[in-house]
Amino acid sequence: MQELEQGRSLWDDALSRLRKNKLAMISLCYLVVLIIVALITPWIAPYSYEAQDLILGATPPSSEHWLGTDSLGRDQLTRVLYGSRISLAVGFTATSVALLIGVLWGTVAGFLGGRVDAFMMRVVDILYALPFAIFIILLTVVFGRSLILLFLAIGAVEWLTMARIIRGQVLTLRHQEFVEAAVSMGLNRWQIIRRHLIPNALGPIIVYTTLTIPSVILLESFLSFLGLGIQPPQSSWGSLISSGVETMEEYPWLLIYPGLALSITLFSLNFLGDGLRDALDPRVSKD
Amino acid sequence: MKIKLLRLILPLVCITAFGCGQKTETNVEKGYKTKTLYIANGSEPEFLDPHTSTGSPENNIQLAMFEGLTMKDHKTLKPTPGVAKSWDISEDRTFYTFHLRDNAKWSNGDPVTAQDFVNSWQRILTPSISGDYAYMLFVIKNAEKFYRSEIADFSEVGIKAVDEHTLTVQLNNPTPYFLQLLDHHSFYPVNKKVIEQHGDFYDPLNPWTRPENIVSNGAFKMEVWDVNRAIELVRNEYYWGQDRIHLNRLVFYPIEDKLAEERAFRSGQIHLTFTPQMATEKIAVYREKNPEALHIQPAYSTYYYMFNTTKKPFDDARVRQALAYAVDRKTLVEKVTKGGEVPSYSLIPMDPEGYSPKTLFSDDIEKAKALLAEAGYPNGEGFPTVEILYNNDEVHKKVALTLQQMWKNALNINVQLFNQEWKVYLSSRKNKTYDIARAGWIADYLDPSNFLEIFFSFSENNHTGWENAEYDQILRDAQSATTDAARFELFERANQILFEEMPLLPLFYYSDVNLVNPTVKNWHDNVMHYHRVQDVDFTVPASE
Repeated sequence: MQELEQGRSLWDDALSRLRKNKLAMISLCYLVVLIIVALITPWIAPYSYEAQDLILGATPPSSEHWLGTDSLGRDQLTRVLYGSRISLAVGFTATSVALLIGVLWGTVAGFLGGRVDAFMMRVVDILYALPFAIFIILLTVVFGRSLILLFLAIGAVEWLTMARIIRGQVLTLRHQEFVEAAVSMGLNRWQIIRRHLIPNALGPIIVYTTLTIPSVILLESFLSFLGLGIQPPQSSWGSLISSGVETMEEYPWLLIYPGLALSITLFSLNFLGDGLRDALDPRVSKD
Repeated sequence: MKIKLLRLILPLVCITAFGCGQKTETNVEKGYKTKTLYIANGSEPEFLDPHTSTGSPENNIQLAMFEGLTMKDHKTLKPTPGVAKSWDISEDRTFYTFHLRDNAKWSNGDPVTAQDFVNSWQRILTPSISGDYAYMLFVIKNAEKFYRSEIADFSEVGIKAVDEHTLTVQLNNPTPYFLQLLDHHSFYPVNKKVIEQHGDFYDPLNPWTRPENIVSNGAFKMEVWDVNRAIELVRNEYYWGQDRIHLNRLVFYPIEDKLAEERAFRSGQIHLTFTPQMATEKIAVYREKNPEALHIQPAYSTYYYMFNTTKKPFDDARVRQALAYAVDRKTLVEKVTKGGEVPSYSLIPMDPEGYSPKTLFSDDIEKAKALLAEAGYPNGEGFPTVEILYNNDEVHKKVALTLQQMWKNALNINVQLFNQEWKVYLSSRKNKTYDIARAGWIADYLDPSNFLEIFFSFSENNHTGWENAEYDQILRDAQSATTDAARFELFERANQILFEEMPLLPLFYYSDVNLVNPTVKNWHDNVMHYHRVQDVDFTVPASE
């Protein structure tokens, strides 16, 4: 028995648990394919995303335009593909920024407690009180309109809730026996945070991350509408959907396809998040 | 955000609430019984003081509530008697004598007198009121001087109340469109006695326009102003022309969203839409399925792009011309705007009964390329990336996208788009922090001078930085010209200069697109989008 258990790290364990979760694996495959397609879009897209064919106008899906064309005669498939680049980039970058700041801020505050905690959480409260749209608008006005900055700006406002959730989690964890054991064994604070607190808080972190990505993607389309995000003729899923809504009775395909792309992606993220949480939960005993 | 969302959702909620049950009567049906006209009126009005308001939602309501010295005929737009029952014009056409009706009354029963007009016009010319449209009165002798505080005594201004029912006006120049102006809200009378009950006569923030305070002299008067829900007007029982009014009540809904507006019309919540545009993609649907409800009318107004002529590369007239030549206007109006707009090659709209500008250029890509090469950018080489500034709107966005592609294909130049919210956009224009900006002008009165005077070098609406002394002089000459022939010749010279210098790029003449229930009678389309509800009535369908 002893020998069998050797050579299997916690990560291997998690991976094997994840593999058994079919839904999560399908989602993972979908996301990988999606990311690859998004990366190579400029080479595989059938048309240019800005080329218009005004004479053609809006046409339903056909053999030439698989997802139809919009009212300016632009190929919808191409625009959805290019849209995936922007939406995924915003979704992942902004969420990573939010994740990084939020997790660190939350754990440090929760673990150190006392005055440090009080101070750090008041900072969060103050930032909460700022209307986030105005905050992003200010940032983009001061630093100019660039896509990278937009990602960072969105990330910089999305970390607040994350920090609160993590702090709450850490507060319940820090007095548990295994943390006290770790302290008595002489681990320093950073090691405890890294080895014990963050892995134990992984569940809520992952769940919240999968919720942040869609809200960030939608936030981008709102900012683009205000003229602070991407500018036409570039497209993101959010902007495609919002313009598709306006003509959903006349040209339903302009709403359906970007809508499908967005919702399938969000579902996949959620399934994958669920699977990861189950797989990574250290409380699940080894079999 | 929240308010906007609410505006968007509220009408929807109303529609679904009313629209679900089969038995529920729609507003349209109710309207036939109670003689109530339900109207979608664009955004929520800010305030209804005719001397300070500027927007068309306000104007639509004021038109029903107030009455100037003259009105206009629905069909011909010729001046007809309003508060003035008749008028005499002097030989040199600069001196007007108006004879007011004895039975014109305010909605509180006071008589409308010549002195009311003198007081009102003094009010709008007083700097503390600072009405945006005060300049409309500058055709009156010394009015501008009084406005600029160069003279303090209002009796020097060319407006006199000779007796209770006689008013005389002395103009600077023979102004052929003066009688038209009298129907503009800046010339409406207000009741000094009533306003002073609520504060200072010259205070723009005086609360006299609140629904419980306001007194007006038109066919209808205010009854309910429920902010963001509806404004309801009822018949003014003191109005002199009782037999002209057929309706008892007007309900104006603030519906900003074009899609919500169309849905409200389809579900029978409104009889007509008052804003002159509708959702572009719906037009084709109505053309096919419900053509008698669709009213399309070419308007006396122009959609154009203007250049910031103080900045490279648009400080060169050849570049500006090149861009103007390189637009395929026919495709633009047929495939993009789709509302029956007409391609335009001049700032001034066509007027079959008056002055129509000559067409001085055409859509010509070869010519455009040659001009651009001449200016030092052969095949677009070395041409900087420039920006089109527009205010948030689906149509403006589509037009900008189309021009971006047309210019790229024809001239190989790169253009970026940049949208801003309306007020930010206006300040960008004023501060000239733009390269190319969209603009439009909807005539305040039916005369070419209204358009040409935008580009006076000192005009507050000229945001291009373009100045031309000869042009200014031509317009001044036109103001004092005595015959139509002389005026039209001067207009044509101004038109020629605008073509040579091209500070603005004409794209198309607007058209007004409205949905009007076919049972609405006496609603006539005209180039000024001028609709008085006094004459409107219903042909009630014989269903019962």
